[in-house]
Amino acid sequence: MITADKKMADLIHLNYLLVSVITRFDIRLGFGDKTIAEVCKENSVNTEFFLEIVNSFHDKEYFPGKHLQGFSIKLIIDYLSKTHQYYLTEKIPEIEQLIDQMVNKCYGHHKHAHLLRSFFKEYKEELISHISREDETVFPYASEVENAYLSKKESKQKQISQKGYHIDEYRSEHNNIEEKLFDLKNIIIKYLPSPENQALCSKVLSALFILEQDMNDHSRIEDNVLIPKVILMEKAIHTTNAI
Amino acid sequence: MGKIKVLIASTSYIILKGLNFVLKESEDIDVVWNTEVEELLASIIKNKPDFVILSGEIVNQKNLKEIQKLHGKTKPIIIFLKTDEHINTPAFCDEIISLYKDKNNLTEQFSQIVLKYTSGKPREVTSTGLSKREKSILRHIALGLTSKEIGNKLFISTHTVITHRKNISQKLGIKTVSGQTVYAILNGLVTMEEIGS
Repeated sequence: MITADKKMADLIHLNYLLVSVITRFDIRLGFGDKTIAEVCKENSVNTEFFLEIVNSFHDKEYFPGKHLQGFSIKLIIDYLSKTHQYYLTEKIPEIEQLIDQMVNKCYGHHKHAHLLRSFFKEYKEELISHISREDETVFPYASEVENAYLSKKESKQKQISQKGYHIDEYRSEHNNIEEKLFDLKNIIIKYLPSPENQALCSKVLSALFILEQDMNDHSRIEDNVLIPKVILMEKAIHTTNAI
Repeated sequence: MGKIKVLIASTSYIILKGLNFVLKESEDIDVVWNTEVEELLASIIKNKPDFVILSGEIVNQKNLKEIQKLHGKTKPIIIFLKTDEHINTPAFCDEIISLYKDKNNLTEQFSQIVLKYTSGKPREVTSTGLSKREKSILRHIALGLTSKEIGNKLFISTHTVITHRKNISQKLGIKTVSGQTVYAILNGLVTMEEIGS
């Protein structure tokens, strides 16, 4: 288990994929021999929350989500939105560019190579619309529920009650998006003709595998931490206001 | 079933190691346990192997019955003999393999044994060979038809179409319609013109 007294540098040595995770907390490299606790403090990051996130990212077994549920929805949403930004501004453009190169350089003579490009484009559009739905609708709703719950003000709670919808309705459209990513990998691995430049394919595949792993962690937090937490608050609000 | 689990037992270290090595070269065989003779019975109970391979010197009529009882009568026990001359003696085992076979012969015999005792059982899909029917259904999927429409067209129930679709996904390792469409085009089941994109 990763603890607060561990050196931040050792965390990255342990799992280099965590570089992208610490970036979401606005923590920059160059931390010398400082511990996780010290670096978090300097960057005004909640150390406990940071530890939960990196532990559950690093070790699937660690993830019961129970500890994470103790943190505020605001904190969780903040992290999830940052992750969305990371997908949209870094991962997706990076992969798109790599796929473009790959189509041109690896399968230049193949008449159907462009299919890969359009398949990825479709995936990207689906992902973007899924993310914007969460950022624009689901997350603001979840914050409202938390505010109303914490305020204990009847008027605010009534507002939520009267909306008449539940977070449950948003429960995961992740499936199709995950499946598309899975298909994309297999099309490259199994079904496109042998590439002229395998190094490029290897780059694309690594990027896809890393994205997939990151997204699995992300969906786990949404499905097993955020949504159950909102459901609990919704229930409390609805019961109070029903009486 | 997945890959085949094999348990081997011998008093000879060389035979154990050697057999282990040869078995692991086969794509169908996954797990191999080396077992000390004393632990043989316990190991069969614990690991529930598909095949048991015993070297000849540890087998006698009495312990073989016991092994059979624990291992299950339908699953084969293979006796591995150190010399060619003994080949006729143990009539009570299922298969006999001689130590002096050359590499090709040995591999061939193993794969025949594997085939003999696993045929008819569902195996994990290892090839993407789609059947004629599956190809035809995949073509219609790529053309944008629903399961119901495909059923009507091919005079089969929607339920049957859904079963075929599950098998297609599993065989190809492609789950989404757009992914399967890409496959269909790459493999000439439909043309770009037909899809109209």
